[in-house]
Amino acid sequence: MSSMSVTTHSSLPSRDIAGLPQLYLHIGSHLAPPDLLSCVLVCHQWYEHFIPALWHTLDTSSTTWRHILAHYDSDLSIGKQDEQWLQDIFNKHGHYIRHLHIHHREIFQLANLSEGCTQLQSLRVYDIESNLTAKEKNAQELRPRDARGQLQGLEGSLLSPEFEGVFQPCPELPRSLVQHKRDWYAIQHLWLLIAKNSELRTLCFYNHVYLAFRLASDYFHDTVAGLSYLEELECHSDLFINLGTLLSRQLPSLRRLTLIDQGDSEQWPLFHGLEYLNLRYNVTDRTFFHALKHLPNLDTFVVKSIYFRFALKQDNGTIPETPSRLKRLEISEIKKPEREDYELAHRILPALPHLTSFKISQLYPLTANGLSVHCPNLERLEQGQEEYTLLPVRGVRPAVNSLNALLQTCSKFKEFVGVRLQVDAEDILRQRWASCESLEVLPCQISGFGRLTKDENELYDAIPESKLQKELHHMLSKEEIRVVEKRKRSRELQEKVCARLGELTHLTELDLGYFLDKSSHQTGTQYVGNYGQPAQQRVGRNASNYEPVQDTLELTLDSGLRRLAGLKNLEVFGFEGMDHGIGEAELRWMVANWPKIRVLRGLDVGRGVSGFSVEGWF
Amino acid sequence: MTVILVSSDNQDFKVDKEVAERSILIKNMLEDVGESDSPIPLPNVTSAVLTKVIEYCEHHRNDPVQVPEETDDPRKRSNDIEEWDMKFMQVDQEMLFEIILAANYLDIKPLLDVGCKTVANIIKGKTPEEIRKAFNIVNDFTPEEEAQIKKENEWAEDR
Repeated sequence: MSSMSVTTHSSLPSRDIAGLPQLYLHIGSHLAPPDLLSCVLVCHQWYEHFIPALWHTLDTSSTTWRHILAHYDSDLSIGKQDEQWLQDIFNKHGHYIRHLHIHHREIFQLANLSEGCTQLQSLRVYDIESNLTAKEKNAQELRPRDARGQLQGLEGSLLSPEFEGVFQPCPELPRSLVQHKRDWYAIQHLWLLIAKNSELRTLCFYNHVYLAFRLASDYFHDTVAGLSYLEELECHSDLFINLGTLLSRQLPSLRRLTLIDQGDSEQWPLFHGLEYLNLRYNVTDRTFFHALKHLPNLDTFVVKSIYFRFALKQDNGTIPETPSRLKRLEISEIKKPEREDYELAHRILPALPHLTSFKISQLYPLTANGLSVHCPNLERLEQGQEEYTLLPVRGVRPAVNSLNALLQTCSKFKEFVGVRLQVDAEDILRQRWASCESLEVLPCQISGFGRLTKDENELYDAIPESKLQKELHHMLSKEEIRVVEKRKRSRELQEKVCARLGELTHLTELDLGYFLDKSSHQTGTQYVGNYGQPAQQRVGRNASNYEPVQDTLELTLDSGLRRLAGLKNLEVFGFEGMDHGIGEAELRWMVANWPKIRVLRGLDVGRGVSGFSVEGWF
Repeated sequence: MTVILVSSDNQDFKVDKEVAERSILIKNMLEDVGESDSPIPLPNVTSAVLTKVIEYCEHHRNDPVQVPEETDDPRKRSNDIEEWDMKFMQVDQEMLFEIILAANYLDIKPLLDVGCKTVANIIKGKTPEEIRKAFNIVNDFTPEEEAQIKKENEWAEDR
């Protein structure tokens, strides 16, 4: 579609803006593909302006892509979406693509054969094994077996002479003959595509991409070494670590590195610029310290777990002489709690005086204590597994009261995220952390206010207003007096707790249970820590038999809400969705008293899921 | 310390240096010239537009300098606009584009960003016909051309 001189009355392409294509890209960067599609359909001029924005980021995860590619190699070519047709589209628009997210391996070929597709800035490969084309789906042919009856992988012809001896077919995967053939070509196209996009900033291989790494290490090295602008890399470990020392010289810009499973080399190449390192496997203590030592600018270190091999009090040589500059540490699994708790507290944390953020699946007492002793700059603590709670919960677990020590010594502490942070109402008044004024984010389920039950409430409501005055108490029954007293005690407790929370004036987010209760249950696996383990167990309850936490705060103007008036920075407020008592008057009060409030979570009474935004409500 | 900016229609604007330096173009000019009282001509910006731009810079004089990073993650595409900015951008379309052009020329990234977000928000969720209406554009596609574009970019349809 060539640009035609058509007169439109558009005010968008006014005098100068038409000459500034980057402005359309900028506008387009705030629009999703469906909106960009609408833009290119407006008129010829808009087509010219917005087609680069539409193709700027090509994410093939959508179901439409799946549908289109299902006919990719179909003989029927339903809807003309066959190989050549798709290739033509890529030839036409490939030069606009800067960010490519690949979920189907056919895209490797389409992109590689599109001559213009040489200006990629990021290439993310998500899944290249599970999406099958028409031919693959219908294929019945069996794979050949070798002399011993083992299934074999299948080689095809080479797309480039330099591929002689580079690739290995992959017999391990349960795939048909046709799939093997397709794999064979797809992987070659992938590496050719990488090789011709020498300006890549980001190259990431996610889950099922084992296939892509059946290649000779010198080819891998030569290709990756050619990406001298590379800033972010995610790939399998073996190839990378073996070549690390070589690559460290050739990838001067590398800042973020994620390595997936496989092995654990203890020697770390010296990557001067590396700021983020994510090792998605178990590392030994020696590897951990070796990495700290050889990555002088490391800012964030994420590991699956640390395996402590050396006997206690031995091998001090592994601890770096100079303290690390590391700011963030995340450990997603604890395997041997006692040992690891001790080692974290005595060997790891002392080496990390600059730590500001610490995330761990379960925080144990020694580690918590170690943080308070060795990491005075700590601002954020996240604990990611829900069956443990740091604070005493009535009748559930003995107190693991280490947060107090932490908050006493870490004056910069701002944010505490614990998946099951449950607190008893009486207890919160005794907790020092609850008066840590620097706190900015607090998700915390407070219960145990001794509120009236449904029956008691009915009884209370039936008492005439006049009799509630103190001097007329003698006119009440024994039961009525008990209920009146109980209500009074509960109200007082609620007032006190609200007053305590009201002192945390730096809070931007206060969630009194909504998130804690709903998130893990509605989605099954997604909760704060996102550790990828399904949330099956609840504290003292059966997950399949979900009941909301009872006896939480009543957030009415009569019961203590007013005490939260000082939370002028509050942006997000969440609460248990049952019995909160919030009505229109309370909502108006919130909007009037919390100038920055954006989100209320919990208004959908009962078992609703979504949060509720008050934006534009008042 | 103040500097004098001169619009294309020769009007002088006296503003604090700190405010003027929200514009990277002006900041660099001032750095190059060093201490100087001479007015800075801005031949690409009319007084009406410059008034608006200065109003924005005055309001945001104390904002920290942000480093916007290009992202390929669609989830990060946020169209959140601060309330003040939203009101500030309630102008007619011509002025909106003039502001975007001025922000681009003067290199004021946050203003450029707010301007582009505002345009994006006008477009968002609209059909091509509704967009044409919003921007007063005549459709010059033949039905065949339209069908072809739809076909070639069918992948973008998913909401």
